[in-house]
Amino acid sequence: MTAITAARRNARLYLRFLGAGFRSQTIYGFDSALLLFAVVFLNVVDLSLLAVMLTRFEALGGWTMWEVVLLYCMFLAVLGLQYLFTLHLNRIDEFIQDGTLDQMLVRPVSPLLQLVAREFHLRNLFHHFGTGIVGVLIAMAGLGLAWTPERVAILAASLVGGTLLLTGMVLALASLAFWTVRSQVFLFGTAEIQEAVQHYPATVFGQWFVRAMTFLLPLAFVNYYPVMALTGRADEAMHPLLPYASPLVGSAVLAVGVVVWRAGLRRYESTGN
Amino acid sequence: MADAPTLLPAGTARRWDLARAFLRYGLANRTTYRAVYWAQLVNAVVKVAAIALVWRAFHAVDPGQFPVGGDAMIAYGVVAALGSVVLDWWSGPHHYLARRIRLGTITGDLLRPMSLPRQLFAIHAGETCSALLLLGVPVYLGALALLGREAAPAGPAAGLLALLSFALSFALLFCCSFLVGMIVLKTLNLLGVMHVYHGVITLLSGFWIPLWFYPEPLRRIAELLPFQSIFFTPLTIYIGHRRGADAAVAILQQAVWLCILLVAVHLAWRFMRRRLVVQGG
Amino acid sequence: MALIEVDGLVKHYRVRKPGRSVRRLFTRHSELKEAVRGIDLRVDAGEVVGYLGPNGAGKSTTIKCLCGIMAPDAGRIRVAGLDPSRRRLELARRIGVVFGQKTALWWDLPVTESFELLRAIYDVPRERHRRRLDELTALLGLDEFAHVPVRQLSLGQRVRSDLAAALLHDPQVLFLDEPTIGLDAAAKSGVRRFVREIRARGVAVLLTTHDLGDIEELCDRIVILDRGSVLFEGSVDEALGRYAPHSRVIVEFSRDVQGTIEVPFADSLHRRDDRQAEIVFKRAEETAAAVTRHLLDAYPVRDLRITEPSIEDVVKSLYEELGDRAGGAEPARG
Repeated sequence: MTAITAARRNARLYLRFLGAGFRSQTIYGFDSALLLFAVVFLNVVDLSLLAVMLTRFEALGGWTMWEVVLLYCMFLAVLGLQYLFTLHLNRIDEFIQDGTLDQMLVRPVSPLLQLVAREFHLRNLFHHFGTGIVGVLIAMAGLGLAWTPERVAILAASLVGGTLLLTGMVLALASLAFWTVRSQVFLFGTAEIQEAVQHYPATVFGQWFVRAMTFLLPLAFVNYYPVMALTGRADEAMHPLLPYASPLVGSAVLAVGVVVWRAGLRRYESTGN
Repeated sequence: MADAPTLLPAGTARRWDLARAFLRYGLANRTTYRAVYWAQLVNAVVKVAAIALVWRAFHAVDPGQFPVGGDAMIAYGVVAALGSVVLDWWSGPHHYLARRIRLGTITGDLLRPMSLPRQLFAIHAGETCSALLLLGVPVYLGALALLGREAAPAGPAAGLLALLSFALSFALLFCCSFLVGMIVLKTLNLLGVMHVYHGVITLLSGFWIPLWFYPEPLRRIAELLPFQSIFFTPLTIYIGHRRGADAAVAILQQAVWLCILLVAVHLAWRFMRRRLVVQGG
Repeated sequence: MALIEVDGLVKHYRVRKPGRSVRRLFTRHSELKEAVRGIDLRVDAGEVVGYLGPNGAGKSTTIKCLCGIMAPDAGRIRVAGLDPSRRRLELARRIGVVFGQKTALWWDLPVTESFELLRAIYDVPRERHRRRLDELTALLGLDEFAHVPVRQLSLGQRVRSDLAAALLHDPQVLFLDEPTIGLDAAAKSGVRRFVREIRARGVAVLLTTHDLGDIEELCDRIVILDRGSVLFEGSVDEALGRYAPHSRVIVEFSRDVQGTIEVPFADSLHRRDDRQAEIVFKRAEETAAAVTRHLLDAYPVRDLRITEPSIEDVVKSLYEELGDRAGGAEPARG
């Protein structure tokens, strides 16, 4: 099979899996309504408290209240997209232990494709992503920024880039389960840093933090840099092109995730562990 | 120590025994996977560092906005972060109950010769102690060594009173989480309820942002509810913002809330147990 | 034609040995465990081979190596002509696997939808898939629950669906891991009937099971494993001959018989009372017919019962013996 026909077959299969995932979504009811309310409530609380502080202090690290709202909601929207497609990646350790991975390995399709395609979390479209996008729209209005085609393109590209980035990060961290048995804690570990990046402009913590979030754990490309691009402060960045680099960096991080997954799988095949 | 239990009445000896057993359980749980523990430790450090840095930044913008000094504000943040690591409201009785319901083992729990609230309290106490010993203490000592006065209590008395106050916070948080657990049992929706619970604690306990920054109406509401007793009270005592009679009143208030919540736990459990027994779990 | 060939398979595990309590945060011990040490195995087309052994004997490890999930440390494996660890994807189209207690179907989807997904995964042409599915539906009686989500199926229905799922792509080799566990008698016999049907079509079946009915009714040959090595290989009858060589005749007399009873070739003889005796003899040396003829000729017999040992006796005595020595449990995910 040539690479192209293989890729086309994989794409077809993925769509088919998505369809199955779509059909197996449980019917919306009280549960989902409660969760939607809970997600909105939680984020409104977070944002209000931030706003309380920002109205008192006017600017934090040189960022105004609406800019911080945009920062926060941008992260939320990307998180929603990542959850929508790959929320279950954080259960890789479970899949290894309960034999789900073994089942993937006896099928004639790449286990990574089966892993990614095995679930689809439709409700996140409304929860995190929906809340985030509404917040982005409000913040943009608050900042008085018009939706030029350029900004729409930046937003779309950054959403995709950020999603790839978070997916790659989750894949890499969750794949550590091949070595450590349990891996969810690594995700919780970065969750603390994610919280910080989501809530505050990275400069608050100092330049070292901006550098760390650019080169080490590039979460700044999820919201910090895209917001700079959207609000026209790209020239304030370390390099004026960084704010536009989300798609590129996201793809690179995803590649790292795939490499870690593959290494883990190789280890699994040699040790059965 | 070893023969202390025999000197005490039988009931006390049994309680010692139980406490030891559940502490061991908590420690064992937390140390089963090395990588998990080290990651938790790193999490705690990150959390503490992030909060400390945020307050340093805010303080740098406008010190006049703070009713306390910069050192005290950073200490507030550091201890708040540690408090939220040790007194964790994402796990606890509600989480445990939801899991047992899902696994269908709740009936077995009800059959044990110890009431379910007591079992949950013992388990949660064991887990909290293990978190305190394995995460809270090392990170706190590290913070003290690194930050010095920026992490230290206002004085020895403030430190001891805060410790007492935090002990009450543990009991208060257990009651709240238990009541949330009852709601989870009723709605069978852990995730949604948990998000709301987290939102309420974030908003009303003052663990993230001290209540003195809140707009007047919100602060009034927070002061009427038990959640500020969980974090705001011990934290303000720790940094010396509340001292003397002020501190005593605040601790008394915690105790009153604890009594009220214990009654609520008792009633809620009486109601819920009947339902559980009728439905057969 | 051999569809599974294994020569000298060796597989090691590194097993973590946790330290005690808080100390384990700082120390790390692990030891090398030989899960499989030098196994030879052969399964021909149209043959069902029972793969037996106590927990921890190395059954799962072998199967994982045979499916290509794990690479062996040494030895040569060919399954359907392929080296599993090198050509896993290719092999996947030629084998079917049913992991006993874990379903391969999509939990929230109706059975037919799962089959449709599997068709896409295995790239089976539509026409062939339809014919195959009709056939399996008839054999397994799937039509009564074809549109029910998997999570609502009974265990028996689920196992039938899983068997169908494993055979949709017409594999040459079928791995069954405890397929009848937890099933009621009727469901078990249904599954066994189906496996016999599959065997008749020339599929090579490797069956791990603890169920003695499965062994007696299905297996042409059994392989008994102990701590990573083959302890016995042969037919069920051979196993009986080797590990349970004795049969017994219980005879009841119509009147009291005093004094000793003599039966040539009897290994041992127990008098229960004056009216009853139990004669134990080696099947290899004497037939039941000869023993009973002798008894009928020499004594006033009222009733007579012959008990043959079952594979259950073999396995029980073997496992008891092995279990005492091995003691260790299988690794958690073994």
